[in-house]
Amino acid sequence: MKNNASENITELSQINFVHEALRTTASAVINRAYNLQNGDTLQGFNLAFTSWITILVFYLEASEKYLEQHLKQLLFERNYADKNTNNALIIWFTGLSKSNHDRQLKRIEDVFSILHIEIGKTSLITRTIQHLTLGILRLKIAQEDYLETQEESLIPLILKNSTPIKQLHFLKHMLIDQESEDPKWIIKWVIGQLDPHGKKLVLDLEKRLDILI
Amino acid sequence: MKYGKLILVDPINIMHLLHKAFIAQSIKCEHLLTSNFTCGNLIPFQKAFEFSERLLAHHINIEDLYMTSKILDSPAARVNESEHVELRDKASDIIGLFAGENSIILANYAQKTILASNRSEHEDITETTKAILTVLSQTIGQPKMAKRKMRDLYERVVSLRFLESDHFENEESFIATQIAPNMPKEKQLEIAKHLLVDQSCENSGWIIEWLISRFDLDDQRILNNLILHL
Repeated sequence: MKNNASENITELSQINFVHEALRTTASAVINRAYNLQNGDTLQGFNLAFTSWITILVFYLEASEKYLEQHLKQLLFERNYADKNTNNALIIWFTGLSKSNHDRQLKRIEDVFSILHIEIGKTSLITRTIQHLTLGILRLKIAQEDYLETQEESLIPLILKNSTPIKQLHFLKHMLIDQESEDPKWIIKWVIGQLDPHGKKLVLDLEKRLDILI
Repeated sequence: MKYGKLILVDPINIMHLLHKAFIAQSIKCEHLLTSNFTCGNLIPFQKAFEFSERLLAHHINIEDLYMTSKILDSPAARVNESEHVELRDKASDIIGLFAGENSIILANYAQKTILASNRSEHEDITETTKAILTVLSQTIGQPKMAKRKMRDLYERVVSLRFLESDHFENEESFIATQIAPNMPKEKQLEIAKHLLVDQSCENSGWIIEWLISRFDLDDQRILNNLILHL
């Protein structure tokens, strides 16, 4: 995303700030794993990992619920292309969503199973550190494949076919957690991961979301 | 492991130094892959990995043939042999992956997606794959698939290194410790000779040459002292 040209940033493309924050967090967690030493404990690492997973799972579920729903509606309304392509797109998105979702959840479970076994132990050994690092690496790669697919295909397709207001409504679903006591926890987290320019853009977006009916 | 004046008390313990060199070679492969990640050039990695695979294949074949097969009624020896099978499979999967064409990877990716969608109306998978590939080539495209392939490769290469590391640790703990006190030194020297000298090759000393170029001075002395007895 071009951070230096705010006038070129469409509403929906700001979802990439969430991607950027997820990538930054994943990199920080894998670096922590690479830096674990024999004799270390997992307490700090566990907190960092859990924080990443909370956001990732929320984002996966919101994407599954709203992103594909939004796209399917667009394809239906606009009759975007010929019937065959429309059908292929829907099959692809459904399959893609399911396979990516399952792949990431499986990898999250794998890491948690290592953490749950090891968390009570007083100190780590090389073998555990390696298994943990590999688990985190696999999850980071699965996340990257997923985010890249959204950026390269789903989001451009939606962008091409929806109005800025519709895009804002969609972003509201993705960035505001209506079920939480603190509905803006995602936005706050994203802002915490960005550089000053990105922070300003997301704060501006937050204001627009606030006045959205 | 006892070195005593840089001489191995038990010749079988040369395996520790070999394992150390193999892990260093695997780390080198990982670095070659990550340093060429952006440009997508697989050739430096491919060359290094093929060499690693040759080393590993020789090493585990010799161990199966001359070392663990001689230890009868030992569950640890059988586990060791099955770990060798897993290592061989993982290494050959990697070679298969970098030999694969991007277009095949793209087609496989599309087909996996169709299958995951669980939709009833796509009996004609070939037709749907074709339509999806058209969409993919307009959206993700070959360069992105190449990046995906690099990530997949990297994951497999790291996974192989950790598997090697676990296996070497098991072998040193459960096999070498059985052999060292129970097998005569001459027999141990014979295994060490097979591990270090590739009789099937015209240049039978290629493993020793490689080790010497990788070892620090102390390890070189240990190796040279051992070679004098082979």
